[in-house]
Amino acid sequence: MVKKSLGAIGEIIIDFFKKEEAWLILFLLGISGLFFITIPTISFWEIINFLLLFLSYTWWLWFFLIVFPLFNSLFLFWRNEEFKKDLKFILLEILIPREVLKSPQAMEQVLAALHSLRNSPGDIKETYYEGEVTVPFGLEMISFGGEIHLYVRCQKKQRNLVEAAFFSYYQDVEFTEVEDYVKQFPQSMEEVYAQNKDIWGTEMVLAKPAVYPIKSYTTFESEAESKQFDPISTFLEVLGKINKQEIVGIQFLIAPASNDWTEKYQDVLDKLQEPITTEIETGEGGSRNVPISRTPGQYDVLEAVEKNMSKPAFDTMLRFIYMSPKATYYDSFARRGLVGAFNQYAALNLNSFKQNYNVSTRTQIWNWPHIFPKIRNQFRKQRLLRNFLIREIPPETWMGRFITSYLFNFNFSTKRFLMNIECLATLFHLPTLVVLTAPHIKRNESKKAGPPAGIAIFGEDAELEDFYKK
Amino acid sequence: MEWIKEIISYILGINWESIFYTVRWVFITLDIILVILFVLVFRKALKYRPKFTAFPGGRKSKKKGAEVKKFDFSPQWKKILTTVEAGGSDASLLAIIEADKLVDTALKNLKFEGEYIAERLERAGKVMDLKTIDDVWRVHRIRNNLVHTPGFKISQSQVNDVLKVYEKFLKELNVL
Repeated sequence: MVKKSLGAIGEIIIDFFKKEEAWLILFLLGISGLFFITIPTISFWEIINFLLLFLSYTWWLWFFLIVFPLFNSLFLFWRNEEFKKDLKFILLEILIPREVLKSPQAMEQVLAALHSLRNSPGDIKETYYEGEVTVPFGLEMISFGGEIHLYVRCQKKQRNLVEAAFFSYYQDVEFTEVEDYVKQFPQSMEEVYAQNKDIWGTEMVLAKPAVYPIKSYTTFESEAESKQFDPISTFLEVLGKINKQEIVGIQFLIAPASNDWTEKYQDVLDKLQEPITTEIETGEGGSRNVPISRTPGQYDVLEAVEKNMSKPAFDTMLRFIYMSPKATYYDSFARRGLVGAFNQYAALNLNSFKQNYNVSTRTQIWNWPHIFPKIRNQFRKQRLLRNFLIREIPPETWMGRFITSYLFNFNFSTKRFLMNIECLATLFHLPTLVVLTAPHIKRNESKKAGPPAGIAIFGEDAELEDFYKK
Repeated sequence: MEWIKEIISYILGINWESIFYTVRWVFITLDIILVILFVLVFRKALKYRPKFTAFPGGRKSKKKGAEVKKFDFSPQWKKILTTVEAGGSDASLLAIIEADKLVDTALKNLKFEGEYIAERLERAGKVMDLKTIDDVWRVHRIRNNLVHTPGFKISQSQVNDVLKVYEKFLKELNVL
């Protein structure tokens, strides 16, 4: 963390020197410095004494200015946690039919529909009293010993809306409310060790600013059958290959982001859009700048970025966990297999995934801060397991992160990234027809069809009402 | 130029010192309120701090060989056995109740959460791969009958059987 904050300070200083005002201030400071030097009667200690005197008169102001933002942040954390505590979630298992003919574009539309369920604090009461935060949905892909289940987690009151969003694009899909599978998980690392198991887990983040898209499903699709791929197949293969006793879970916690999410990336776009010029010599010995056309590669990047910005985005937390009995524990499987599966979305000129190494449960003496790697590892495992079980989204406030930190485990590294619905649909969609790993995944055997037209319905009104109630 | 002079004289006329002290007192009061609120909210927020430990698997001893027990209930168990040996029907009843309590304490110490022993046993059965769990359920029911059903009696051989099951379970939990 110290390294990071030093880096941040360095960045601030560099930014500071880029401004013209900074040079003006420095100039004035220099003049005043000259003023001090030319008066040798004022010593260094006198300046310190003067400062102390100044502080003794005005400490109340500085104290207020420092403590108030901290208090504000702490208060918000407390209210946010109270808000999160009262939310009621349900877990819906997605039973997919024998074949899904829809391309991931259907999932993109589902996500667009889910995005409209966004909640956010609108006024002072909602922000400070209710402590509202944007409630995330959960898209989860869990493999219990090779049997893969797909889940959607949403608020209880939003169940109908979420189901409707899926049914509009995936007509044959079915939802069943299931008991949360994490109840079968060990609830703490004590229990994990009591069961003679071990875990490995990490979070994934984007390697570049979120405005650069990852490789999306459109690049995996083609008219020709020989060129149709579904990136989800890699996940299904990896998840399907684990041993009977092992569990692998991938969790996408997606909170709809506001529609102006691209604003903070405006400078990246500006840089990309800047006309490219070259200097040519004019006849009279001078030179001038002439715009030239972009290279095809540069053009592609600009196009991809602009297209990426045109769609709504989700604040995404991507977390996974691998749990195995110690006898068969082989973390390279998860570390290489799963992380490798995310590698297929990488486009080197655009964006790619990388592990958030400060959260990953692999610590070595070579990693910063170089002390007590084993103890740090235990803390990380506990935090990761807890975050996975309660689907924690990291606190947004500084004090919130501070208060949930431990001496050997600061909570400042875990972070979410923005990802637009197209990329998110590429990451999580119902496996399409091209995925041939049918035996791995739990499916719905029957196909649904509407009733024949004009079918007679027998029954009294009261009975029909009973039916609708169900 | 008259109005500039007026403004200057007005500014000079203000009692800056008294304003300074008033502002100072206002801010100091605010500071005190802020500190009190900060402490109050901090205590509330502390509830949401996750509980982690540095050694969730227990500290491993440096010595190799003998496995280190986290908890050792052998003295209590010996006491129970001596109660049975002392004889009398009440003694065996007491011993069974004590043994059940011992199992409950052991589960509590192993961090199995629950309101009653039944919940803890259920949790332990789910989490750990225990061979004797079914037997423990059986003898726990016998113990419940002993306590709650009037006129329920068991023979001495049954008592021995029950205690043996408890002993096996405690051994499996690695506390005996």
